[in-house]
Amino acid sequence: MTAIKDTTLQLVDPTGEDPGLRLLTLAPRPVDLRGKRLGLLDNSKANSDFILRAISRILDEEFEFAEVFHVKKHSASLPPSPEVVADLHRHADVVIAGIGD
Amino acid sequence: MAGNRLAPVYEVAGLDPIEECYRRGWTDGLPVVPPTVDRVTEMLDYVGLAPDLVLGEVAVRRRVLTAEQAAANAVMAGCLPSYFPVVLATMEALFEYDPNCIHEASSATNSPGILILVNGPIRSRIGLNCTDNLFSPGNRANSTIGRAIRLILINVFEQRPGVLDRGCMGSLTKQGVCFGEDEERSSWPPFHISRGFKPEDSTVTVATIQNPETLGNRYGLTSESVMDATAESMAAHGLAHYFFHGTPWFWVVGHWHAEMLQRQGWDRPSIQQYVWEKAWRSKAHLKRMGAMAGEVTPEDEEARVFAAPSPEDIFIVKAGGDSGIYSELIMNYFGVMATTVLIREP
Repeated sequence: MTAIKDTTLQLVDPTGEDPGLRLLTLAPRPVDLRGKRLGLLDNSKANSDFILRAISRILDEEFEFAEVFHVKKHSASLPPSPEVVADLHRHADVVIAGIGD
Repeated sequence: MAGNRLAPVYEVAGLDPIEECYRRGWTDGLPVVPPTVDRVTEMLDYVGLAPDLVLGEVAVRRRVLTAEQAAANAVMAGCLPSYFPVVLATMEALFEYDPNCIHEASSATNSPGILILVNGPIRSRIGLNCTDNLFSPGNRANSTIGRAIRLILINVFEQRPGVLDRGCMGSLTKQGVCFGEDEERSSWPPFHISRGFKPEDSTVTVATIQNPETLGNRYGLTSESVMDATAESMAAHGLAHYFFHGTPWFWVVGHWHAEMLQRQGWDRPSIQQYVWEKAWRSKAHLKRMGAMAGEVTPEDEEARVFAAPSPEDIFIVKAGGDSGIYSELIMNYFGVMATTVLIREP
């Protein structure tokens, strides 16, 4: 058997550039939910609103929210649009995001 | 727009380079052609692009695609340099439609693949199969162009099954679906003419699709029977009605179906109108099957839900072999609605 000659190949990395670590700061956690404005972020799939409203009803009994604000994403598989995020900033102190189907 | 980066180059000595590509996680499960500097350079030189040229960005993934990365993945898929313009045009169509669709198409649980329909003179120049067995493995251009797109999605945008590719059942179409229209044996104008291009243009039409369905209407002697069978398959597909307004379709009309339709005087618009009108189910029927949400109301019995939003959303393409009497029905679903762009050849 003939030995295969040991060769050196140069391979181009075909992968995407890792964007690297980015420092993210979490919003301050509320110490108490009582009287807060609750945001519900619906991912736009069937029954997403159903489960979110059921959860908010249960929580509302205990925490008596000042307001419940319901908003829907334009696509289940994409992040919310900047307008939706701005709406949540304006109308909610805490947000529950949910998925349906 | 210029990028700011050239891809790292790895020295691989004394190793099997194919196994090295596996070890680095660069494959789709099948062996790849090692993306050597020489091969990648040849690919880039063919189209005259600088390696750091940014072809597009997927904001939601915080990733860009450079010409060099596209070339490396095309090499790995087994593409010849002459196929590279088709790969680039396909990525351009995805970026033009919506860059984030590249994320969306893979994150979708309904597992869409990406269809690449080629029209125009480039088909013969690259030996793209438009006739017998066009959806089967066996022809280099058809098999490797679609694969190159999948490798870009996997390697550049991390759309790996189980990671960011969240397909539930997965799809055979994710291996790549690239084919050409059989323009030479059709009396209908080529498909890209209906999209506003000239006959001498070469184009790709790109769309996210569900698994195709083979239509086996073999005993019909009239065009109406073929179109009725097609409409029936469209209407019966539960997913078609999920959005309540239908979805576009590709009807890849096989040779003998097309021959009869053309001989009996049916052109594209009249076929589209006929099939669209017949491809519907009642809202009540769809709700009972669970294809639509909600309780059945008395009005639902009479309410029609069409499988396609409009007649123009049924794309008629003539392709396939003449060994049998078949067509292929392909749903254009969720992610990228059919987008046609010019292929720029050097």
